[in-house]
Amino acid sequence: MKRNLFKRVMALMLVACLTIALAACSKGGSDSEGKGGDGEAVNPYGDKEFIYAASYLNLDTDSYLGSSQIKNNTLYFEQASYDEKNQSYRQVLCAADLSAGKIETKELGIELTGKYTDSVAEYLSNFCVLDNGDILAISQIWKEDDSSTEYFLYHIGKDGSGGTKTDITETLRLDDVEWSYPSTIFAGKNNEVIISDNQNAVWVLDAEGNLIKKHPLVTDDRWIEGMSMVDGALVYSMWGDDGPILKSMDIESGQVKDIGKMEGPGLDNIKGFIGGENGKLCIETYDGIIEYDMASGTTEEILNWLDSDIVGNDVNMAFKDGDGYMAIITEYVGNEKYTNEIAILRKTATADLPKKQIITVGVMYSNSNYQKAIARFNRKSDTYRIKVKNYQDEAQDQDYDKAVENFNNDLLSGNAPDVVETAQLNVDLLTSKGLLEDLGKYLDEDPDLSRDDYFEKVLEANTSKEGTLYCIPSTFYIRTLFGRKSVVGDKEGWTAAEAKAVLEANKGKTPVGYMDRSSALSMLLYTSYNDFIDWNEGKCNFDTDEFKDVLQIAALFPKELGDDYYENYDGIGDFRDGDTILSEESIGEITDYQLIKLKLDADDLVAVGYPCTKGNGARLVSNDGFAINAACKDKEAAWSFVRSMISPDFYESNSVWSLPSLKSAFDESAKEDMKREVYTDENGEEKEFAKITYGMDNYTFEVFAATQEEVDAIKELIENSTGTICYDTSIYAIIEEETAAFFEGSKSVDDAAAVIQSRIQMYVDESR
Amino acid sequence: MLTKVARNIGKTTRFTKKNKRSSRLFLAPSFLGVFVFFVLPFFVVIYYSVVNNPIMHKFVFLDNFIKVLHNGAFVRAIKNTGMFSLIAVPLAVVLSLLLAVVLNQKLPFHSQFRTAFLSPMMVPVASIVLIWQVLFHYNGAVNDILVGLGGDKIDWLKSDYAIIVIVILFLWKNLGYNMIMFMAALGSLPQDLIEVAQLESANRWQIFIHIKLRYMSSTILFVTIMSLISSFKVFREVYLLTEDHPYESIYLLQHFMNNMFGSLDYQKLSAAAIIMSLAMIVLIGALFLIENHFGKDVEE
Repeated sequence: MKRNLFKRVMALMLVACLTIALAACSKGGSDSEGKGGDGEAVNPYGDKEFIYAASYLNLDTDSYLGSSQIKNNTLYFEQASYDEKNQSYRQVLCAADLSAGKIETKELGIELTGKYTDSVAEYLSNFCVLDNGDILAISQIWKEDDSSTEYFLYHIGKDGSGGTKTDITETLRLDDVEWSYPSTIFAGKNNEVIISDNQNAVWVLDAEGNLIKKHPLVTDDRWIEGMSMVDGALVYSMWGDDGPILKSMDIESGQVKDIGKMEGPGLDNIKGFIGGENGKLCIETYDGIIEYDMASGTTEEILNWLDSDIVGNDVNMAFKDGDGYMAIITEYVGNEKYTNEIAILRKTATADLPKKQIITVGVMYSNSNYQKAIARFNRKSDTYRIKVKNYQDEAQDQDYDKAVENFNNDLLSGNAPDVVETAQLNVDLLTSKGLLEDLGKYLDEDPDLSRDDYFEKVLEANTSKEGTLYCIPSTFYIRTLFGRKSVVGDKEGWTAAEAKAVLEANKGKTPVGYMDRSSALSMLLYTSYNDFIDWNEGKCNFDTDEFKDVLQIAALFPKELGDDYYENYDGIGDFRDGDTILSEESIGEITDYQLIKLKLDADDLVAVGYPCTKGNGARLVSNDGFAINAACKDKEAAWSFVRSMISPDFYESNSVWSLPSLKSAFDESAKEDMKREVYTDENGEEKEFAKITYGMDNYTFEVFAATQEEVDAIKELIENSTGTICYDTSIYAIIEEETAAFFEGSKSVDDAAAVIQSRIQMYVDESR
Repeated sequence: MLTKVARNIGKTTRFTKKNKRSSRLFLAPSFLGVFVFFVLPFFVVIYYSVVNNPIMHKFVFLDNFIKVLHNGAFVRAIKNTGMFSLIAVPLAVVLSLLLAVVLNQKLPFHSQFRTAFLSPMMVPVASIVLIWQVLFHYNGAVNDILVGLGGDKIDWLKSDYAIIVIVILFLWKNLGYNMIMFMAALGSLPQDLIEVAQLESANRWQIFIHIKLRYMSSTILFVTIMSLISSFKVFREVYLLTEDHPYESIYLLQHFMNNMFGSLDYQKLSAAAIIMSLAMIVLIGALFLIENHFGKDVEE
């Protein structure tokens, strides 16, 4: 009986253990931090008890804001506007009362204007607001004739009234100093002003510009990166041998004290100092605001920009404001125009904030594009909140391979993010295992978007061999090879045999500038190896003449380029002279194409492309693509984020820096690029403004408004392009290994191709 | 008297029960370890082999097994592994047995020979691979000799000759260990039986076949099983020589397993592991039956 009982207990234990083990293998439930995508509204800030919630005030100006300061609930800022038509600028100091709820800007008494061509021009450098509310500003007058600079101190009342302008050039003059540009200004005690050139000296002046004190600045020949006043002392940092170091100067005595090396999270990412008190320095970083305790050397994160739906990169200036903070957020909206808003950040208990469903977004590394899309989505959505998982930050030493490995582990353990950025992942592998959603069905079911809205070739380039549209990038660029029709023939696209014939006929010339054999092999393989694999049939054709031609093309490139090559080679000149056959180019904007035409300066220029069997050989490379995890529980929520990066709104409210995947956004962008901007010169003639002036080596190019032909040429390049660049490192490693003996001449191309065929066939077979 | 005996029996029973209980307690940690690290993972492997992928967990029954059995790489791996074992294991057994017999004679320098054959066991795998690369690389020593003799270079590791190189490597590495096993078995043979056979005018061949081999059958089985296991483990050397996608003639089962793990295909990996386990069970079972058949009369 007892024996039976023992057996039963053991059996029960075994079953329990098995159940636990299998449960551990399963998807796993949502954790307390809200892993996301499970349809349940939770506290989206995880363990954080407080965050700084933002409210926003719009600054009604499309100019770029220069120096700014907040004092007594008033924002003082320098506003600069440029009139390209008249070639003139205007700088004005403004104030805005922030307590009114709605910002009304008032211009103060300092206004500097001039023309770009003026031989004597005055610019505002910086300003500060004294404790009594008066404003002091430094300006500089630059004289073209003798390249001299004069400095002036403006003093105006708090309402802009009155005003004096004092020449302080002699006061700030330093003998035996090669460079001095007084640009930093702080309000000191007793309405004094502290000025520094951030390199050599600190001057203490009274409000009328009279010198009170002057102290040398101890920098140990390093550049000062941040400077601020903390408890009446001037605190400044420089980049030391392996990190930032901090010093402080007593303004009364001029004594400089070494505070030491700054160590702690976020300190490698400093944007500037924003004051501080009680021995704590307040530091603005690209990720948020941290406080650095100068006595103990410890840091504390005060706020994270993304928690407040702000992109660190867009923060023009941040201020401490009592218990809270303020940040001026400036975004470029294109055409030399900006939007400016003030975020007022107040400490708020997360328990008081609305609960939301969490969508986790995994990125291998963070960039401002993602942050902008995420911040924008979070600000707009009442239902969802994006939580970012940055794998590279979590990986030790920010190791990229470790980041991908961590993502794979998360994926297999059921903890992967709902949405993942695809640029760095082996998407072919993930789609072949059915781990990524087919976005095609979401696009087809979307009431406002359809496949026809996007470039077909862009969608094709992001479709796996199984037919899964794994991501729809917001932007992309084109990579291709350009040559002269007289040399490479007049058709777009060529086979490897044709390319080999051209390069062999031009032996002795440079095949492609700045490209050695190893780079050539990677270029040729990453752009073409898929042509030699039929993934559907599971067959590869690396023993064909076509592939042997590819290897033979690579063999025509120099083994190494050497230092002399980089010093002496003139890529543009050589191509123009016909000594370089091909030029590898990327087209991310319409102006890039115009620039290529100017640079290569050939009437018979043709985008001949990478050797391929079909199409024009141009490849489309995606930017900012997100895929949905097949295991995400709330896929509609995940799609709502993904679509936010490809919808027309996205392109309207963001200035994108590459070719838009949305056709209508491309057309809008083309329209802008085709707009001519003209001015009248001193002879009364109408002249067109250059959109871009580009300098390279001894060449300068000016790009003007695009023509319809140029826009059509780019569209044609896109429409006839052939796939994307596929970075399958396993295939590349096999080919690179096997071609080494061929390049050395100890193996024939047939033998090398036969081994490549055998080894890659095994690789292809495995994937079936 | 009877009561005393009964009491003693009772005491013995209690003592035995107490003993059993305490022994179970002492065994529990080992049992738990085996359960957690061997039994459970096996069930996990079975589980993975019948679901579609590690995140969706959709039950697909035998689909993964069908996929694996139709997979060109798996079939190639089975063929190559089978071929390798079929060539290498008998050679490893026969050659080591011959060496053991030869070194068992009173030959000059026999202990030095024994040490020489054992030395590959002491060399780290990475060093072995390095030596083999120096020898069999396209520009290696063996090809230098071939060219010196007027022949053509052979790409030993990237052609159909690769299997020969691996077999030689396997034998070089394993002969010493097998030889020691056989020498020990030869040393423990019943000398009286051999003396009787000699008195009965049996020649050396008859004594070797009918007595020595018969009495060594359990050792032969053990050496065969160990060689078979080692033949599956030759992947380590092959991997270090040729990495994860070698020339097709030396693509082994563990290449398939390793690469499936690398490509996150746990389903195919699990299905292949189960198929391989079943094949091993059948093979080792067959070896036991053979040993049982031939060694039965010796045990009797």
